Amino acid sequence: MSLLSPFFLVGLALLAGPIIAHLIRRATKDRIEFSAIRFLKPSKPRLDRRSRVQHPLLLLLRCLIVAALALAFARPYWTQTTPPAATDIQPRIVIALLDRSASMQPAERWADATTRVEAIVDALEPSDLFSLIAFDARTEILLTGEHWQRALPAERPGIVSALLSDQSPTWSTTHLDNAIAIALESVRELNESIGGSASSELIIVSDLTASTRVAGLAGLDWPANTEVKFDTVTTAADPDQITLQWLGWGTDLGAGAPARVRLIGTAGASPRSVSLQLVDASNDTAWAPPVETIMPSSGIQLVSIPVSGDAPAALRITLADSPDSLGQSLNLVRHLDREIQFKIWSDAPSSDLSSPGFYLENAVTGWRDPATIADDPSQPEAPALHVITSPVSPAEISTINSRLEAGAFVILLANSPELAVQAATLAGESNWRATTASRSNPLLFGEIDFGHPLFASFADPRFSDFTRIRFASPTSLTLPNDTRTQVIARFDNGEPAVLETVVERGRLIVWATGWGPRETPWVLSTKFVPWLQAVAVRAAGGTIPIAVTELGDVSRLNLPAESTVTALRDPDTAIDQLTQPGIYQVVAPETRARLIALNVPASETNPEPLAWDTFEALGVPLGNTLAVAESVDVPTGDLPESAIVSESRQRAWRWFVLLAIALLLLEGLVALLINRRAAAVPVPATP
Amino acid sequence: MSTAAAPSADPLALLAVKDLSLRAKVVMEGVHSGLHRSPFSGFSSEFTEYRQYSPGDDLRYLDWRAYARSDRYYIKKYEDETNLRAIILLDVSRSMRFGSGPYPKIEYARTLAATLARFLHEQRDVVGTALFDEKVQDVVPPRWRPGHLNHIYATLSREPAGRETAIGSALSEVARLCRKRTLVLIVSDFLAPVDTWSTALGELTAARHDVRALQVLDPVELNLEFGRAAMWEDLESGEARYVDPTQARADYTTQINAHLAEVNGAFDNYGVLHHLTTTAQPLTDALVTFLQTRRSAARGTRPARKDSAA
Repeated sequence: MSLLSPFFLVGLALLAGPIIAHLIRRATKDRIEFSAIRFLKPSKPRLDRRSRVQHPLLLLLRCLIVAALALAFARPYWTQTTPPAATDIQPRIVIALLDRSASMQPAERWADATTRVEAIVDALEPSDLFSLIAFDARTEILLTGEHWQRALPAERPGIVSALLSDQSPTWSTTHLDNAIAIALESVRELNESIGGSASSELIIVSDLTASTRVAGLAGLDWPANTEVKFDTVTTAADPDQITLQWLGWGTDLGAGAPARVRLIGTAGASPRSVSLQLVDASNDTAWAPPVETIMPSSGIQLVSIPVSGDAPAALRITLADSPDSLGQSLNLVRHLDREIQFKIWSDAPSSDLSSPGFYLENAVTGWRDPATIADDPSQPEAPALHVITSPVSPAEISTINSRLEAGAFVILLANSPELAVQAATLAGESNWRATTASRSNPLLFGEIDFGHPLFASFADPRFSDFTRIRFASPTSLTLPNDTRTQVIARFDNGEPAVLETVVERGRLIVWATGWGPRETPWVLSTKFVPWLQAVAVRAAGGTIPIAVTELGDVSRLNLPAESTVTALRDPDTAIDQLTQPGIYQVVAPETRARLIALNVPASETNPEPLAWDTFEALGVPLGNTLAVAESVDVPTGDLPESAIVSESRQRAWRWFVLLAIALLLLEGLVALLINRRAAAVPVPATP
Repeated sequence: MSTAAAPSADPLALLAVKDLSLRAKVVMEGVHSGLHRSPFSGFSSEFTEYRQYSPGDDLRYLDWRAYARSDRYYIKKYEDETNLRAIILLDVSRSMRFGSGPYPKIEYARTLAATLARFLHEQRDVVGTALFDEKVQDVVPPRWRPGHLNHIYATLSREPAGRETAIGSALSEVARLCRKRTLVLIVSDFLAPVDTWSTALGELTAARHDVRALQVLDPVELNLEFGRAAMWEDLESGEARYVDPTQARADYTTQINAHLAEVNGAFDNYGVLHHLTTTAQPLTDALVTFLQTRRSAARGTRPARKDSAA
């Protein structure tokens, strides 16, 4: 018998408790009244006779209880000295599951894994059925049982070696549960093919890090005679190994948003200095001086690396001493401030308080994203936002139209029939009718399409109150039936108030009213600036998408279907699938090119091993013989896996606990008998 | 004779009855079934028959006139009459409050005393009672009148407050109280040292009183099959000492047997008929044995000393 946790045998020291208790006799405090005490000689107190044990049977039982509990906690098991039952009578089904996730990237680890698979194949009997499955986030059957059967026994190792040589570790995560589920399907199919229920083994060749996904194992239906064995590939743990985990960009405090990074090391390691280097990813040159920090013994450190505003968009953070190791560099893409050309077409000076221009100039001041700049006619493709508050000349109409077609957003305030006609011209339509009617009462918004991007930000009932915004003299617009113009909002008399028309790549937004303070309090309301900024963001290309993510989580990038992806360092070669970490440029029609950064999944860089009892808790039928790796970092220390698996299969501790319970009951019975015997000698009840 | 089958045979069942008079009545029925004649002969009795003298008979009843006439020794036998004076002395000291079972010795002894009182009263004898511990506490002088028995019951039922036993002084007090010849029945455990009361007993017998003793002990007082290792405290003196009964049993048995032998010697020395009973013995049996012992002795055949061996 061996012990998995022999240090619990220290609990045997508790045996001293009952022994001392049985040696010590408490000085009795009982008093018995008697009628003829003068005939009694005083007895010597037994305290003088410490060497005599009181109730030895009771003591023995109590000692056995303590010993049984200590042994149960020590988790005993019996080593398997006899080989497994002969399975060569019936063909075995052996399925090797090879982990090719990102954590297997180290060359020596991958080589070790493939060697182990080859060793499994070499140990097979000719009658055995073998299947090879490679898995990461997805599972791929490399060799089916049927192919194995069809191949000549002498050729089989070569086939497997060829398959393995074609494989390489990916940068994806480890979904072991999916792989086992598919392997079990293969077991069932092979059982059906041989018309029986052969004993089957799933041998998992993996590094079994803590990030391995095993949750799906809980609901699996395990065929009979199926065992799961682990051939764990581990390299000697490096106590100084540190991996980087991306947390996101910090708050911009004026000098550029800092990069927030978590350093994950080995808990308990002595504190040491760590140097982080910010690198320009476009040319792999250091961008800023290294950032020094101390890695505490807790194994976790959060670092905020300052990134100046003039830093390049594509960056990389590396550990200065080992930049090429797995998980020790991070690819980043900065958010660069966007600019939008802004122009007001008005015949009134911007200092005129009665003119909308004054309020527009003040509204756009201080914007960071997008930041407004002066309109530059030489860059018609650049994002632009134009506001027309006064009638413009035909030449200007032409200019504005060209900007519209290039993608600009134009807001036209049709406070007169003339402007309404110009709006129709810009929209490419002709028969808009516009009149100015004198009204005794101002109009309100009667109907607003809050689903439209123009007013979507006010859809929440807290912000959708437009009743304080009145319009004193709006222009009455009538659109033809075949118009392409969409009415976004109407006045409460049903006439169009806000319209939008798509003009080529641009948008024309028409308000059937002016924005002067005499016409409407709109420019003074709290809704004005958010509304205007929403239009500017649309003009600038929409909200900023996520640019930094992990492999396997590319869907968060919302890449357009027809986009072209190229590596930052190799813009000429289009990439079909994003399978490797790096920085890429994405070009999609009608959008600006954007950079994205992909990193190794943080879970794959976590060197912590998977807790061994996880499989037991999930009901996995663990096998009792394993090809043991060099060392497995399990909670019980440096024990071989076979010991852990043997113990978990035998569960001898349960019998010791049962023994302790039985002894406890027996002890209670014996104590009761002893007490009754003592009580059999009468004592005075009512003297 | 056997009363084992009687419902009153079990002392536990009988002593569960609170009413002392009822207890006495129940026991009395058993005594009646076991005895057909009064064992007590009065001092002024009606002559019934002559019986030839045999050694050991009381010479007081030798008929000297018949001897003069016939040169034979004859004992005159008298039928008891109602003029017998009797007093029942009940020891109510703290030692009598000991009991290994549900009831202490005093309950057993009180029932015996009440039954004896009823027995004598039914014979129209004048009977009284006295309770004693360090001294005589309550005295009911011997009388015969309606309600006197209830008076005796009430006195016997009284819970004493005394502590130690002083049989000697009690006997001396009785000797002072009883000027006429009186049947003195002492019910006690007689655990007090013999030399403290033997002299007073001698004085009482010297005063021609007919003294008879009924010694009541708990069974465990004879064998010490009782208790556990603890501080044992004397009920009377309050003296405490650590006693482990398993260790002390053998010596205790020797000591108590020696004491009982000493008690027997004292009674024999003064011609006092006495009987030892334990609280485990049925009350009826105890009384009948006690009364029959007296009768056998009266016939001149000394009873076997099985009592002392009990």
